[in-house]
Amino acid sequence: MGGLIEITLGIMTAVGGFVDVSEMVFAAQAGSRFIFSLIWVFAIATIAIAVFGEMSGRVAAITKQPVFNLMRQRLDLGPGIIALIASVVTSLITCSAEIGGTATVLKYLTGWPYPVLAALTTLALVAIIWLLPFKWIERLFGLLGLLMIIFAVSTVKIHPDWGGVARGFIPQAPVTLPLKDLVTWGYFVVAIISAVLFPYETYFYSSGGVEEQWKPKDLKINRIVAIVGFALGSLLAMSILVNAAVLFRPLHIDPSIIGTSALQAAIPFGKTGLMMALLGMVFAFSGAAVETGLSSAYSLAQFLGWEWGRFKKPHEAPRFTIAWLATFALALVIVLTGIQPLDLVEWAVVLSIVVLPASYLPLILIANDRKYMNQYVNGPISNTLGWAAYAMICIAAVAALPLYFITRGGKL
Amino acid sequence: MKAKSLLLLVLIATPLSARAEDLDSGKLTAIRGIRTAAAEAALVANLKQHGRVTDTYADEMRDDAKEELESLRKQVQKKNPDLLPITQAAIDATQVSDIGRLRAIANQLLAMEGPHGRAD
Repeated sequence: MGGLIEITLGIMTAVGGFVDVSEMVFAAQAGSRFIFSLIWVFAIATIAIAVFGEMSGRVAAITKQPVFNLMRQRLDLGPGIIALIASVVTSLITCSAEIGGTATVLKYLTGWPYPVLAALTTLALVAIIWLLPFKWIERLFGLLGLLMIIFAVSTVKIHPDWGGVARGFIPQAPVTLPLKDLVTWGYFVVAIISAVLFPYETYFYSSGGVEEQWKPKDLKINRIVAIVGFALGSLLAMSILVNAAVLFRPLHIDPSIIGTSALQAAIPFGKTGLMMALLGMVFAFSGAAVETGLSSAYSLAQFLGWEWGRFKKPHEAPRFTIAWLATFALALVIVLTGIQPLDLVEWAVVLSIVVLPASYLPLILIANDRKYMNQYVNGPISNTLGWAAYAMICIAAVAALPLYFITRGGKL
Repeated sequence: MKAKSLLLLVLIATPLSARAEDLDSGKLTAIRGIRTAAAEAALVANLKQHGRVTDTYADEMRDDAKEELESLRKQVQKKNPDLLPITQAAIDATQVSDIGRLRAIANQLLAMEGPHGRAD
């Protein structure tokens, strides 16, 4: 019974925490511009994040080490430092985007000034991390983020062309588009892969495994949570895409304002739907801000061999504590400079995809290494899917920057 | 292997980039930005009129749309002054939540875009 509750809570947390500001933005724009032709990208990227999530949880449970420790052991110092810097910068920018996104949505709820809300959001997040144990930080945001389910309910209510949606799961490219738009479509493919596979997700997930002291007996729960939780979370992102195709596209809207996505719930359900969507966005974005803020500190502390972890009191891991506090302070400064959250999202997505190969290679190598994993090494399915996903990430990483510049960040 | 992939990508990307520039990408991007901001403002104003969104949300969204359009006006002022009148018209219509005018502007801009960017 305890195990069942643990699995249910784990899945709900994964679902509620899946969609962040970047997935929200790219899913809505993808649906509006390219109808259902990018659904399969979400599906494949979700298989990849489930595979890597399961792998990182398993490695954490067996080796008692999170991803960044392993990266330090497996990469030479030079590439290791580059991966560290890139990961810290990416997490910082993403954290800024999430705080900016949260403050923007709070503005739609309260009408208060954006800078005040950004500062209050940051203070509230810092207080929550300081006061709550790790498991409850994760569950608080994950469970309240479940309000985002209103987007999936809206999808059912608006009766999309289900045949078209189903066909969207088949890998395809809209070859009838003019060349320029085909290139933009390519940028969206890369951006969606990046948004779903943000490296902070595995840093956070595996660090969480160590924080919660997972053991081999927890592997089953880890597998179910990673596969089912991420899959259901991805369905939420896909529902935002489908809603945008059905509701926004006929009105010539390619959402350029964060709050527009909330209309997907307001159109079918009125003010109640709007409030649920906005509150769900607040918790989903702020949960992602917590994950990215802590990931940045996890990466630094693990790479440099500092004491780390929220299971320790702040004074027992002082450099780790200063690192996450500094991340939130810097993220707030970035937000207060007036850079738009959507611009931050674009930079985070492009930077992330460049870091991804360095993040996931050590993970696959360790998960395949009997010296570390004993009988818990990757099986043939994990291996095949893991290497296939890794190849996809490498191709996306090479294509990301040229596509970003050619398409002006997908605006072309 | 990585170097080869990179070279291949550059070889593919360069002509694509050149062809994209031929179609005056800057203007197209601006038209799209103005069109979507006007359409978003029209939808919010319409939903407000029917009591389906809160006043706070509608007012903040209108302000955001106006801010977006003002930022686009600065861009077109320098590079595409021919878009200035329609951008100003969109700003004015957003300010007074003129749904009909905003929809007409969005339609007009969509026609100016031609066949680009929206899969059928």
